[in-house]
Amino acid sequence: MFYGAVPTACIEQVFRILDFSSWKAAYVCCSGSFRIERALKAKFPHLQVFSNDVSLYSSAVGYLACHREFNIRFEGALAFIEERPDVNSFFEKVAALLVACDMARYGGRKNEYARKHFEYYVENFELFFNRAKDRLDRTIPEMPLDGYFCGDWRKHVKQAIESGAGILAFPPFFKGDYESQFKFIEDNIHWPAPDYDLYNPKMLGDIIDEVDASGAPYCILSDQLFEHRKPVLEYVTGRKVPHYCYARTDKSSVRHLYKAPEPFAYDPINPANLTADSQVQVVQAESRHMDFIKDIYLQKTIIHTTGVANFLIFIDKMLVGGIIYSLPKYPTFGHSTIYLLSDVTLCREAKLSKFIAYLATSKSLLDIVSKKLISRIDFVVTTARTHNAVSMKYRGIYELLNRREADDPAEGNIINYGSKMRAETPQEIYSRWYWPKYGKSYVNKRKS
Amino acid sequence: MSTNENPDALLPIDGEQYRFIAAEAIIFPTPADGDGETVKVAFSAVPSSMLHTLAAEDNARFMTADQMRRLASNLKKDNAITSAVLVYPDVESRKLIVLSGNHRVEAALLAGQQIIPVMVIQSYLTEERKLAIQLSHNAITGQDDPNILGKLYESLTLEYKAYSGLTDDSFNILEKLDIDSLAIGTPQYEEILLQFLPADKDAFMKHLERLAKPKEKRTYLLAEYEDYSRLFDAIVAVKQFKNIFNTAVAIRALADLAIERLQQLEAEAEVEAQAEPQADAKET
Repeated sequence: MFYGAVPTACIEQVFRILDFSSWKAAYVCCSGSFRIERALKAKFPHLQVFSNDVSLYSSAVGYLACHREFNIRFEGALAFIEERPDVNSFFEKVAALLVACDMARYGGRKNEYARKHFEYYVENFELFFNRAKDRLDRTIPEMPLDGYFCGDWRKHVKQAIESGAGILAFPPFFKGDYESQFKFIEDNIHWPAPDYDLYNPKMLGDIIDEVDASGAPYCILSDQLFEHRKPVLEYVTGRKVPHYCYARTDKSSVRHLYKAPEPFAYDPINPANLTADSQVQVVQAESRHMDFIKDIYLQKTIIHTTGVANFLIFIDKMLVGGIIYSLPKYPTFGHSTIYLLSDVTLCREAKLSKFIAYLATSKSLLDIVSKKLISRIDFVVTTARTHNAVSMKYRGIYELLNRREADDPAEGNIINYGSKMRAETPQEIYSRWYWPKYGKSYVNKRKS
Repeated sequence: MSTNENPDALLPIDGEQYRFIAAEAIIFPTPADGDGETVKVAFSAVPSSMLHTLAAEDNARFMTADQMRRLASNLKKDNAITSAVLVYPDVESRKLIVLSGNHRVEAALLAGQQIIPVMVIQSYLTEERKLAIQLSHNAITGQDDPNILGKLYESLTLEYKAYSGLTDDSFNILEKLDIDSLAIGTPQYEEILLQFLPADKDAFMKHLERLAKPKEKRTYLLAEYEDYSRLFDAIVAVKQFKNIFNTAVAIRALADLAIERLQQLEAEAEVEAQAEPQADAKET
């Protein structure tokens, strides 16, 4: 539901470093889906909890948990809900709102997939509505709030300081994050929405300074590091934005969550043993195996991402390297394009890295990818980072699509390369292209 | 022993076994220097260009990207390498081969450090002995008492906890929270897994066995691989023609087209059926 929801693993860290038993009350800012509140009430049932947010979703659930109400009217694309005879009470309207929030994922989009999903929700509204009522019946008793403030979280902070309470704030990492997430809801549901100044995360440093100076206990989550203030919590997973917490506590917590690579048995390539008759074998592989190979043979500081298809390449049963494809982020080069995320080679000699890069354009591999994605793939793009004008690995076998300087000049150039699919098997690529062009001369040189 | 030492740079500590020497005073041992049991070691600081790190295929030890980033970040913070690298001077290449500390050297370079503190072996070693030293440095690293380690870790601030390379997950100190989502769940998609077999009986039987498993919730449709290729071509053609990207929507559109075509065929058959008696009449 919430794209920016605080991960449970990170909330566990918050609970480790803060002693809530000494708090008089907790003012939670930007409550979202009330995960913190429910965890707080489960562990510290007597702690007073005051929630806050500006979204209709949170405000409706928050009001319900405080036995308060406000007017909600469904209109526009959601007008059919207003006409239903079973959506009358505030509780029923909040349940219908939960369904509407799920529908919002499809409501603002025009494509066939979104349209069909939206229609499915309309046709099966009762099913989802009943589910939502059950969910609220179970959840609301877990979070008996002592108050809910529908408005600017900075005002909630001030209120907490005045009351001598503790502050738990989870403001959005991006400016306008809430507003873009809830656009469909705001456009199609009428409610007494609060007025507030758009929060800009650049303000956070000053806000933390103010809270800290007040002497109130606090815990504020951010993706930002500040020069003059040290975080007490660090949560990192994959390539996602790190989370840091600033709090008044002597404790601290570090979590770095990554999938562990899985070693497997292999015989590394010795290019001196290649012959004209060497046999090439391409094997589909799991991400955890590719991570193992990449940890050893790829640039050491690259955090791995998972691809849509992975292949290990063997010659005469010796492992040469691997290929990982991923879906391009944007269809810049057309919908039949696949992105070559990694083409790792175990050995720098004998131009084997060029062989692997060339192999990545083979119809044999791309057909497998196509069938896996059920989409025709016939073009491969990749990115090279180099201090030269061209990448020697891709030169001559891929077309240079564009080139720009990296933001950090020390990183050199970022070059996009592309290649049409080649209607050749890996064995044909080896026998027709690689062996006569590079392999044979390398082996002869070694022999002499 | 070769005698290219700079006497001014020598700082004897314990006879000839441990000495501090300048980079240019490092000797490159040869078999002529003998393969004694005692290993002579000198301490020095050398430019990174003198070092030759092991190729990945010659080094069993590897680091995850997170560990390498951590190490480089630590070295940058310290602006120093706080444990010396063990090197062996290779007489042929005139390089110092890194036997232990390859990742430290790589991380130092990432951290922008060009001078590396080294322990230089100054005795001739056989290849086997060099390899044994390399492996032993990685293998004989000891164990940690998790109780003591946890207590020591806990005494650190966040900055130095991260520096230590340990995290809260190295210890059993996080209490699991069970927080349900408020979400009401997605539509109940019906999942159909299409398994496509080459004409291979064994594989076919294997899939049949899977089909027979009562706990399997998925529906398996078995077909010849060539049939899948035709289905694939049809789906892709529909996607391109109707400008659809989602496969499920394309399959639905494909079904719509098939039904439409069937209706056409039925209509054509009806027309033909109506036309047939007239033809008969002509004959009579």
